Amino acid sequence: MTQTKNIHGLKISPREKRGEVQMMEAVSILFIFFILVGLGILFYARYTSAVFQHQQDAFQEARAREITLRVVYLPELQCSKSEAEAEVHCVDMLKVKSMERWKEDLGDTFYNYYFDIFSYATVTLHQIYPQEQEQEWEIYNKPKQGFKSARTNRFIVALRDDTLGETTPAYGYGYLKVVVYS
Amino acid sequence: MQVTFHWIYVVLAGAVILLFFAGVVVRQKSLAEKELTADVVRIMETILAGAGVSEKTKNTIDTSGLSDLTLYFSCTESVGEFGILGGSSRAQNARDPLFAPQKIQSPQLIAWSLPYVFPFKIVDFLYVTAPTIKYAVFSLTLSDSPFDELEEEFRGIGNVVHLQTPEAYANLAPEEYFHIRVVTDVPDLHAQAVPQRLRSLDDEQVSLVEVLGEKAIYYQKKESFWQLQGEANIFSLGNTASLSGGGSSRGARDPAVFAAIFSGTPEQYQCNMQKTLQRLELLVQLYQKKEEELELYYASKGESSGTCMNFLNSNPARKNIEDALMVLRNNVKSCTLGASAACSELIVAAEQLRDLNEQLRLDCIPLY
Repeated sequence: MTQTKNIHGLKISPREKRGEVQMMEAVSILFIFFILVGLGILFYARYTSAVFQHQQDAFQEARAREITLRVVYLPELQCSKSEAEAEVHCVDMLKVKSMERWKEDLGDTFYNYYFDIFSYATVTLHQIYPQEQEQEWEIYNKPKQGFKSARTNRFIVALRDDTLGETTPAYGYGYLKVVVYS
Repeated sequence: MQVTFHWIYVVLAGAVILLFFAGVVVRQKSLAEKELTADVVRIMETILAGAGVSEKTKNTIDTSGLSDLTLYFSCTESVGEFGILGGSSRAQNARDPLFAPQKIQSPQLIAWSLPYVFPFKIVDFLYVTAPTIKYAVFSLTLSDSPFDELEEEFRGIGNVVHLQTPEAYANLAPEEYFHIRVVTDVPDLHAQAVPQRLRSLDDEQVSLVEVLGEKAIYYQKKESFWQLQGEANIFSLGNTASLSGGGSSRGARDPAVFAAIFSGTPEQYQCNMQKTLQRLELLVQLYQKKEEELELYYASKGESSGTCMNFLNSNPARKNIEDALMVLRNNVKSCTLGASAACSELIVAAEQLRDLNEQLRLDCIPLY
């Protein structure tokens, strides 16, 4: 036998009262459930963002290594020895000194061509020895507008100058600095 | 009535949930496949870029996980491309020459690089091939042939065989290879029928390249005959030696000849050579500036009319580096624009520059 209560003029049976309580429970459970789902999504988003950042870093590092390798073996810089194999890790200073006028002559062609090889990067050659004061030559300079990060690689090279030695070329040393932008 | 409604609701909700998860699984599968092909192409790009810049290296790349997939290589309008056949990811490169068969299906890839010198180093040629591609070299040349060098280089892999008699050529067997390329310096081999045992293979599995002097002529199997695909000029300063067959063969380890052998089609060879000529044009201009730098150096030493200056300076009375560079530059420019006469003159111009540089080397600072 069910008893009916009169609340604010409305008649509510105990069965309806129990249903209301169950509804409240369901809403609370759903509320907690959605909070947990929301937290899960938040953590997942943070995790994927961290993974993406890590992948980006690894990709940029690999690109920096690849571009450094390309610069070191660039025929435009290498010390050639007639048709024999070029000297390893050696930069021909006469080529470097000729580069400024060469790039001027080429104009836009220079960056149009070498962008496919170096992309957004800056390549400079720094002479440490024999000059006491460090000298710098710009080989390639195409920084990315509003870049987010830049990775720098340095590679020690010998610098051969045929015009300095008496009978054989004179060698100095320096390093190639490669900055890769992303 | 109420009970029936509940069951329909449960079944519908279950079906929706099942469909949702099935959709997620299918989507994830397709994404994972796309990601895998993208990763493979990216990793291959890195490996090949590394292999391409390191002089004279031969790398074996394990692709056993991809042995069911077919890789394709192409080059059109100076842009090379490779990827997985049927996949959405691909890598393009407009600067580095890469010579490879049109398709490769293999658990291993071989990436071999050699510097291309014309007459100074221009770029490293990268050859990509696989142990599942057989190179059957039919040559009657006894020595100093690039084919011997090819056989030597691939001795450990065993996919290059030297056929020294017409009988050996006629008995060439297909075995289990994905592709068989016949390479020869015997003129008119294409006029003969395809070796009997190769006729059962698909047409695209068998090809022939005739390397005759400064030309490479490509043929594809068409039932039991060879069908002409096209021809390409070989720009090389390798030594020439006469052949018993009446043709000519180039000197050992000739990167331009190897490029012709490893290229899938004449178009691919020409396209990659076009990239090389573009780089040559830029390098000639750099060497022109270097020559000016050398002139300034000798002028600063007060040797404005010395021996070295005579070799460098433009002088109509004698051959000199400045003129040789200008001739080479003009020929390269005309050749890239399609003037065949200029392409024929290229080798002569490069040889002249090489000779002058050797003379310069005796007492002066050489150009390269």
